[in-house]
Order: sequence, then C-alpha cells, then structure tokens
Amino acid sequence: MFKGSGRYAKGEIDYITTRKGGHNNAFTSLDYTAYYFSFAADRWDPALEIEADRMSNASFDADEFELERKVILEELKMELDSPWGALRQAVETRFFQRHPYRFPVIGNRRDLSKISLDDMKKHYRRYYCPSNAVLVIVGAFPLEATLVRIEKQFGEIPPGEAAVVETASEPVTREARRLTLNRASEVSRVLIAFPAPSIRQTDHFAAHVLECVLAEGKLARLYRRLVEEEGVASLVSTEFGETFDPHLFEVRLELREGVDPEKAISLLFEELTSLAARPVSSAELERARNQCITQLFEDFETTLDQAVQLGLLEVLDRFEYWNEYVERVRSVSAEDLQRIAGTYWSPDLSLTGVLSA
Amino acid sequence: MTDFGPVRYGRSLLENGLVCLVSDNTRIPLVSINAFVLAGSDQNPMDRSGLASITARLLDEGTRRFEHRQIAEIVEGTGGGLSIFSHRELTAVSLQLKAADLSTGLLLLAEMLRYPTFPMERFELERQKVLNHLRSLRDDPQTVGVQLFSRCIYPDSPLGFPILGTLEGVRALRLQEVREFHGRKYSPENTKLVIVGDVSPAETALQVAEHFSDWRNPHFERTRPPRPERQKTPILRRHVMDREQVHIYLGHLGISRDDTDFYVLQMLDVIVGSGPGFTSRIPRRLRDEQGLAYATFSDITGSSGLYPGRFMAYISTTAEQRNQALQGLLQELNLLLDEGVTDEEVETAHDYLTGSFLFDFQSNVNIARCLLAMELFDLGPGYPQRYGEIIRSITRSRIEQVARSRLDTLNYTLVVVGPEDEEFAE
Repeated sequence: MFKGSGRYAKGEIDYITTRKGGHNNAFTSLDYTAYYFSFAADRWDPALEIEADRMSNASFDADEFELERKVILEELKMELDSPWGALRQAVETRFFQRHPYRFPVIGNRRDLSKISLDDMKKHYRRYYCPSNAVLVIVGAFPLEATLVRIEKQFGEIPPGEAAVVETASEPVTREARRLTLNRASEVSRVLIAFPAPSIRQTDHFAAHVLECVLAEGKLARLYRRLVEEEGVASLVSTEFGETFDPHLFEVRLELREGVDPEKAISLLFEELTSLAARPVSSAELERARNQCITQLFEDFETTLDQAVQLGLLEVLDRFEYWNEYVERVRSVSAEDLQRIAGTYWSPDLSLTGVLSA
Repeated sequence: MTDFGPVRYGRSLLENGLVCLVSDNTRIPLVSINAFVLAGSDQNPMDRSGLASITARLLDEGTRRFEHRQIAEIVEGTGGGLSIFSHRELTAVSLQLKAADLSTGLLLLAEMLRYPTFPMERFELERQKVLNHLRSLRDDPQTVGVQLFSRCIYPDSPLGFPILGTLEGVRALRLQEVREFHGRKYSPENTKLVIVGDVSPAETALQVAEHFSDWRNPHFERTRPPRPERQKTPILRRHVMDREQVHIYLGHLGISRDDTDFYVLQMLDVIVGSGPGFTSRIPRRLRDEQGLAYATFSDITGSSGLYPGRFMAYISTTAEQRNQALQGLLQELNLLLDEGVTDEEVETAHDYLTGSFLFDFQSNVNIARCLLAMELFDLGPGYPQRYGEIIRSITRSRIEQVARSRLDTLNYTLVVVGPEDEEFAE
C-alpha cells in the first residue's frame, strides 16, 4: 500500500509525507488494518487524496510483492528469535481451535510462502472500500470545508460491502492446558493465557479494572505475591486489549534462577482463585478504577492517540464507548471483579506456555 | 515567561542551585513531575557497574517519612504512576499524577530525592530482580549486540557498561556503597525539576521552593569519566547465538550534543539512515528495494548527550544473507563519502526536520524532555523559534564535508551476533 497507486509512484507517499514534515505508517491488528498520517495542522492536505487513491487504485507490482514477502519473513524470524515472541505465538495459536484468532496477525511461514499476488488483490478488492472503512481526522481543521473535501475524494469510490465477520464460537474445554517450548534460555519464562471478554461485552470494563488489581503498580496482587513475598518471579506483566470477539488476557512471568515453573504457576492460580472467592477491599477497588481512568487520559494525549482510539472503537463497536468509559469504570463493583475472575480467568480455562531455563 | 506557540514555560533558580522549569499544558487533567539528577551510570566506579541504577531503583523503597508500601499507596491510590530510570548521564524520577495531586507529588519527590532510607531487604530484592533481568537479556540477540558494541566504543570507561550493570558488577555491590553514592551525587545543584501539565506555573514554583529551598549537600561531588577517544583501528567482535537471524552493528564513537556539527549530522541522519518511512538511503535500498531486512537503520545524533554517543548502522537478516547485508551497509556509507548527497535530499531533510519539530511538544513527557535538553545543553529560551533557521542554513557542501570528517568506513567496530559461520568469520 506504500508501493504505488494510480496517482503515486512507488516511494512517493513517503516522499510527500517527509517533505511536509509528517509521519505515516500502518499496522494490522487481529480485527482491522489502520493507515495513518500525522502532520502539522497547516499542511495535512495530501493525506485525504493519498488515502482515497490507494483505497481504490493500488498498483501491486509483482516484483514489489515478492520483495515485501521477503521483508515480512524477516519480521517473522525476528519475532520467533525472541523468547517472548516465540512463546506468545505458540500460546496464541494453540488457544483457539476454530476462531480465526488462532492465526498470528503476521501470518505463519507456510501461508506467507504460499500467498500469491492474486490472493492479495482479491483481499484488497473485497475489503478496501468505503463501506468497510472508517475515516478519522483529529486536530485543528475547518470542519465544513473538510467534509466537502472528503466527499470529493471518497464520494466517487464504489461503496463495496461491509465485511461480514464470521464469529466461530469456541468449544469450551474445562481443563487447564499446557505447552512447552524447547530452546536454550537463560531464564525460565511462563505465559498464561485466559479467555477474556470482547469490547462488545459489558464485562470488558470490569476486566480492565481487574487487570489493574492484578498487575498495575507495586501494590498489584501479582507483583506483591510472586515478586515480593514469594520471590519466585522477577517480572510480572499482563496484556489485555480491545477485540471484536472474545480474545485473551495474558500473564507473563520471568522466573528467578532455580525456581520451578510449576510453583510460580500454582501461586498465580491461587491468586486468581482467591479473587473469585473473596471480594477486594474498597480501597483496592478504588485504586484500580482510578488507574483505569488515568490510563484513559494517557491513551488520549496526542492527536494521533485520539485518532487511533476513536478509529479502533468505531470499527470494533462504536466510538461512544470512550464517552461512557469513566462512568462505566466507576460503577464496576467488587462482585463484578469476582465474576470476571471466576468466569474468565479460571485456571481450568487457561493455556500455559513454559520456556524453561 | 517564554512563549513559542503551543508551549510556554517558566524557569526559576533556587539559591541552592536547583533549576525548576514549569510549563502549563491544559490538554489533559494530568501533571508530569520530573526530577533529572545528573547521576547516571557515568558516575559509577569501573568495578561497580549498576550502582547508579540500583540507587535509583531504591528511591521509592522507603524514605524518612514513608515506608515503601505507603509510597505506592500515595502514587497508585489516585491512579498515578511513578517511574525511576537511570540513563548514561542522569537518573530520572517521573511522577504522572492527576493535576490536583501536584502538592502530594512534590512532597513525595522531595522525600525520595533527599531522604531515602535504603532498607537492606529492599536492596537485596532489587539486586535479585536486576540480576535476573540481566540474565534474561542474554536471550535477546539485539541487546547482546548493542552491549558488545558499547564495550568496544567505550573501552575502559563506565560508559561502556550496560546502565543496569553487569552480573559481576551487580553481585559485587554493597548497600553501604549505595548510601554513599546517594550521599555524594544527589544534590540540588545537580538536579533539574521539570513539571508539565494542567498546573499554574507561579503556584507550582512556590510549592517547589517550599519542598526544596533548604536542600543542601556539602558532600556533593561529580566525577567526569575520561573523554572517550575514537578508535584508530578496526575492531571485530562475534557472538554466537543459535538463532535464524544475524544482527550486524557497524560504527564508531559519535558526537556529544554540544558538538558544532550536531545539526549537520541531524540532516545526515535523515538522509542516510533514520528518516521517516523508507525515505532515507539505508532503509530504502536494503529493505524496500532489496528486501534484505525488516529492521535496518543508521544514526549518529540520537545517542548524543553530555558525552559522545555512537554512530551505528544496523541490519538484521537471515543468516544466509549476512554478507550481502554487511556489504550493503558499507556500500551505502562509502557511496555517501565518495559521491556526497543530492540537492533534493538536502531540501527534503530541511523540510522534514523543520516541519516535524512540533511533534516533540505533543505530550507532557515529551515537553519535559525538550525543556530538559534546552536547559542541559544551554540551547537558550529562543531555541524552538531558532531551530528552523539553524536547519535551513545547512548546505549540501557542509553536509558532505562533515560526513567525510565524522564518519569512518575503515576504522570501525563491527559486531555480529547470530549463528556460527566460518566463512563469514574470515
């Protein structure tokens, strides 16, 4: 998408952006692909024309396609060379049996080698169209004149059809699953994945709050128990994001020298089980809610942050989610957290990946 | 008050030498409170790498008035955050709080900087965490490569060690050494406070004075490591790791931020190796045109500071393509030295640097970093307004002349990390 379209030769999009002192890039998530530009407000005029042109007129030269395949294979190798990258990919691809979330966003080696230029063109023609896209502009720009420009640039493009997302429901297996990676490693690493609510489920708010209870700051439960009190881990981190369908809550542990991964895993499960059994204190709840709200402000600090957040929400659900966020987080109760811990983050629903030293 | 468009700030100097910069940014209801103490890994004795870093990590582990749990309660209770990091030439203590919590934040900051208690059991816990982290970094080929590269660029200097230290250095640390390090290095004349957020500059300056004006340190001393010299012969280091990719680092000692060629080399960075997208030569040719790598760049100004940073060109690629990748990097650098740059490249770099400068002032943390740089490198209050003029005055012939005098494609350090290969070793 950066290698040429009807009006722009290869490299020209980057060139124009640079001459205007701007930045551009793109990223792909589990559910969507985003293209973005950042410019000073007095010089953003090329962005609309570029996006409109490459939405309908991308060139897709065969040689460029082969070069990019090589680059992506290098990116994949880089990810798999990293211990966390390899462990994460192993756990995430094994977790789901039916849902397309079982495929890594970057692709796997076999598919990347097989994909043809024709496959890519079909994908482009099907999904890159106005009915399946959201345009977000944030910053100091004149609203009315900009709406006219948008109509002019995008109005002539055939609307196409919005993608129908096939939601394959996952079979529920109530049995803790396990995988082991065999490779040389200086420290043992453990990645434990649990099912997590999608952004379209009300439980999403409470899950955010519970994530803070578990892992945000030095008072968080997992840090206190695993790092300070038991001394089994030197690092605890978690990951939980916004997805269209239910995806994952992940806990990562780097273990201290000589610690048996089984011990760390059982301590983690103990913490989660106790969260399901007993309500958190009101101070702990209030702290976690406050942490969520501060995080929200930080996520909206720059204009690019705002554009990305609004865009992803509109694609996945509706952008008003953010307007309600503070109120919804404030209304999360201790019982809600117990429900999340019991319903989603229960040991018998987890898949644990272990990379032993 | 200095005003340059979107960012305004005020500067005050306390009698004890503490500098305080305050900027009001009302976009979000938060405040970023930062103390930058010029006590980084540069102050470590050669056999005590990691000393500055562990001292910093213990600042929030107990003070005269608060034990570690209380500090965490104060910060996290209202949803705030605290990060403490050592760098090569300074330690940064940064609080991100709701703007209404400014006074609590300043009280806590004063406690951490002035009265840390360094409890023994917290020292041991932090030491174990650091040792484990250092072990885990040995699994990461990119970190291994950068560390090896630094050791070659800064031989016999604390600047050559990882900020966190080495396993040997951290194992050797004693708590008494941490206490002494704090006693000698943490001092008002050595500290810059930078506060950015939804706060009143006048009121903030008053509160700062309340918490810091009686801070004195008669034991203050600052050491300066020997000025690093650029290598005069080539150096090659190989490190074998069983991985698919090879990581190649090529370069030598760079420049300090006050170097007269700094801005010229910023232009060169944009043209050669760290411009946006694939506009600069190395990413365009090696990644976009040859498909050799996902990650490749070069840079000389990004690491400049009080001390010379490093000039480094980097590429990671499949092991079988290592020769091609290394030759590609060298070829680009030689081409630059032999044939120079084009007028169009110079114009593009002018436009990019002057047009993108405002992105440095988008977030509270970014603004704080810029204000610190202005203070530390004496850039002057009119620096943001002057920046465009400085950049636009740089000519093609000047860039070519500086490139030839500052980059060396004969006497460089080459670090290669990846699977074994006898042919490449030749």
